[in-house]
Amino acid sequence: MNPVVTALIPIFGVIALGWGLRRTGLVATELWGGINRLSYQALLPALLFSTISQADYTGLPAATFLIAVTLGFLVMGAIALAFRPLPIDGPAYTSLFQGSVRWNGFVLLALAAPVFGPEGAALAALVFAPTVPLINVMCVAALSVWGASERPLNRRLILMRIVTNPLILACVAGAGANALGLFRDGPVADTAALAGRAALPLILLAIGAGLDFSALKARPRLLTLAVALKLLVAPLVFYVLGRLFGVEGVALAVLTAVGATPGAAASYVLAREMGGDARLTAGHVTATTILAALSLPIWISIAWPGGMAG
Amino acid sequence: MIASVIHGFLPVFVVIACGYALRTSGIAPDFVWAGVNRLNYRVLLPALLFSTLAGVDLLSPSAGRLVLLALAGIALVAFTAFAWSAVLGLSRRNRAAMLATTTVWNFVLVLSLSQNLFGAEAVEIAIIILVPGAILGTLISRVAVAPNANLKALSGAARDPIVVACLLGLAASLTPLSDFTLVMRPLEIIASASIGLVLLTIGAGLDFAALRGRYVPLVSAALIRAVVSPIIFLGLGLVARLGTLELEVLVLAAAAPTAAFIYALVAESEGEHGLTAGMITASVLVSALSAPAFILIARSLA
Repeated sequence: MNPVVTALIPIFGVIALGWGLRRTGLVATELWGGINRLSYQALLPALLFSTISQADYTGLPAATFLIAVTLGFLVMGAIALAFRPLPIDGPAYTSLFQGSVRWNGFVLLALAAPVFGPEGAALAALVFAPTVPLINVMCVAALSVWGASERPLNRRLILMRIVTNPLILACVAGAGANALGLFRDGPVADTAALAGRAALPLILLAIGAGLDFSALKARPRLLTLAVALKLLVAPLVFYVLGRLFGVEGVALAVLTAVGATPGAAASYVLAREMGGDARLTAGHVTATTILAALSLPIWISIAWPGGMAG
Repeated sequence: MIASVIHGFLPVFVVIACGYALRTSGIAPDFVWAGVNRLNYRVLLPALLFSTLAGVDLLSPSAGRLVLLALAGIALVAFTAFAWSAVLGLSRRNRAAMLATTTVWNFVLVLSLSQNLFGAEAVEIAIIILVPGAILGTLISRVAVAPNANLKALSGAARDPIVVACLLGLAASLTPLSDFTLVMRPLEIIASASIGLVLLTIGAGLDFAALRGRYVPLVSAALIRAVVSPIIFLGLGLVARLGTLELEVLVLAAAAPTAAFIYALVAESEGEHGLTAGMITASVLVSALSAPAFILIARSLA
């Protein structure tokens, strides 16, 4: 079995377990909010700080990789905008938009170390710093224009949420520590590593707990289009941009995998808050999560044929 | 030597402190921990126990001696706690809280500390010591906190996720299941979350307000847990002529703070959960000092 599939099966096994835990009531639906909160507010920042601060970026095309990845999300935003003339209501369109540009970085983080090694894990962690604010600004803008929320938009609150996002702060702190050569070992590094180790398993379980198969029935044709944009068009865009910028090898594979990751549950939360089509978004997250198990290995094998040989 | 012990303990207690800070600062308020505790107790911890046990050779000749020592030591600690409760004239509910605090071992914390302090070889020894301890300690505390100690309480204990995971893991260790990566790897992934999460939940569960009043049972529980228990195990280990590493791990298991899940156990049984929170807090504080000291003593005596 090739290494990507070998690494993916346990990851999707954990996601399936999360779904099973919620469905059976072993961990009830209302408890997952707290689990998610701890993961986003504390564990993931610890993981990102630990990974980025200790990564060795010498010899890695980090700058061109980041430019390509940022452009990739901007291009996906432009492609999504090209679909606005479709005869669909505003809230449904915001689901298409969010589905096209949001990515589930945590699936990639879980996959990165076993498949791409420490270099790939370091690059995957780095993606969060520029893309979390960029994607949030794009999605909030789309929802404020086409969403159906009757509540006035509190721009200051949204700006503060983005600026104080713990994932961004952790990336920036990690990059600063890396540049200054701080916290490579010692109590701070050990503490961040110890706490961060809990992040990905919890997030993967929470992704599974959030799957909603009944939402797959919501507007099937539009859902199919949104899924195709995420799992077919987005990885192609990231792959082409990588080639154009001269990104190669494991970095190109990580870049393509960024595009090929499933939709993020955060889009559902934003859709509910800002008048998007939350049910369609839930269907998109569920469908892309399931189908990414098939599409991710294919895209990684295209971008990194040498790596798939094991 | 002292520096290496402190270096091993420090990150663990810093993560515990982070858990306390996360709760009290409101970043992860009280409601967060209900789900985290439930997930940990019902899923992550059993996954850790099962996946660890499935890959360990528990039929080695030295394992039997360690298992017997662990069981005998816990029985002695439970007897001490019971007898001291009687001397203090504690009510049945207070006595149950003391028995739970003093007898249940913190499996995850001890595994983490064993790895930090002594390396991978110690983890295998810790597992052999901890499993019978975890089963017996959980059974004793379950029966102690049950409103009516009877067969129903025992059957509840037999369904405890920790006990079930230990028994299934023991059964799996006799089979080649651990060779099946596709089965074991998802369990190992979720198990890897357990250590960090348990430490955070210990910190989040610290309740300094619960330390006010009822000083005698609080101090008694903390001292039995963090001082008397390691003395008992140190004595047993010396009598049994354990090697240095085995003795250090045994003493570490005995001196480490109690498992935080006993709070949920006592609360579910409508027991003295306020007193239990205080006892857990006191045991963490005393253990933070006594555990490194007992490791050094064990190292010098072995």
